[in-house]
Amino acid sequence: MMNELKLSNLLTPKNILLDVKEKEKDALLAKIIKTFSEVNNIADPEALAREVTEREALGNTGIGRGIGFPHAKSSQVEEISVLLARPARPIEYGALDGLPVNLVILIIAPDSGDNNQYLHAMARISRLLGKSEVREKLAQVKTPQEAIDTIAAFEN
Amino acid sequence: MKPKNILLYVDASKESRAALDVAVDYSGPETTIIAVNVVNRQTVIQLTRSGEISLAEAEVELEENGWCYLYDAEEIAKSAGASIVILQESGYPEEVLPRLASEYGVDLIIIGHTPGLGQASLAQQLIEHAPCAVLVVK
Repeated sequence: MMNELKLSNLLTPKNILLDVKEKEKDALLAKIIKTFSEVNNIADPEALAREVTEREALGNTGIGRGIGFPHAKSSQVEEISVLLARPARPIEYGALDGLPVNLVILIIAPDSGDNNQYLHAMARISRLLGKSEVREKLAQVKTPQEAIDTIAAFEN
Repeated sequence: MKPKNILLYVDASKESRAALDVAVDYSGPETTIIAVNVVNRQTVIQLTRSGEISLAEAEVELEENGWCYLYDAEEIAKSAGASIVILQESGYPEEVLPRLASEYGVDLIIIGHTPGLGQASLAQQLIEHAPCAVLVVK
């Protein structure tokens, strides 16, 4: 792979939400975008929400195996930024495989940035979270730092 | 009448990219393109034959590359206003594609034809076994 951008390097305890109480997809996405906007000092959170939901409307970002992966490019970030959320209970997401999601990761990339880096970052994350052992470990972590350590262990 | 569900086979080839363009052209407001990349077990084994990379390394390479092709296809389709979902499967395309076509009520399978890469055989097998129409893009 040409870019070794690691998810564990993009995560901090501030951009990980564990046991999110929202019970529906739209509310969960709203919560994720709101927190992402706060953590990343997004100037116009509503515009970011529109960018994400408009993309979502053109194709569900449930990639199967209980993972939701909303993503978009935006002029409101200067580098690839993420937020990882684990709902308190599985949420119906409308994924093709019919499974509710247990993990959602939002990734926002600068709209003028390196498209290859963006594609490779999403590819790496998709492959990583596609592994059942990673998902099982992340289902059990008690703190955001534990989630980062878990992901780092699998990435290394 | 526009198809409701198009199953699009996505790989690294330029013919696959041409197939994506056709899928977008064939899409109507109610159409969903289901783009699938298959981590081909045969290719995994072929990659390890030289002994330069392990089975695990070959799988990682094919899986990550496959996701890249899928996200690239998604980007192109959504930018054109087409509805698309993506998924990655492991196995043999000639088995995976007909199974997915049945599971998801697919009206049309679209694949690119890459000469010399076994695609003629894939096209032939899909025509034999798919539960729907098959379009091969050259």
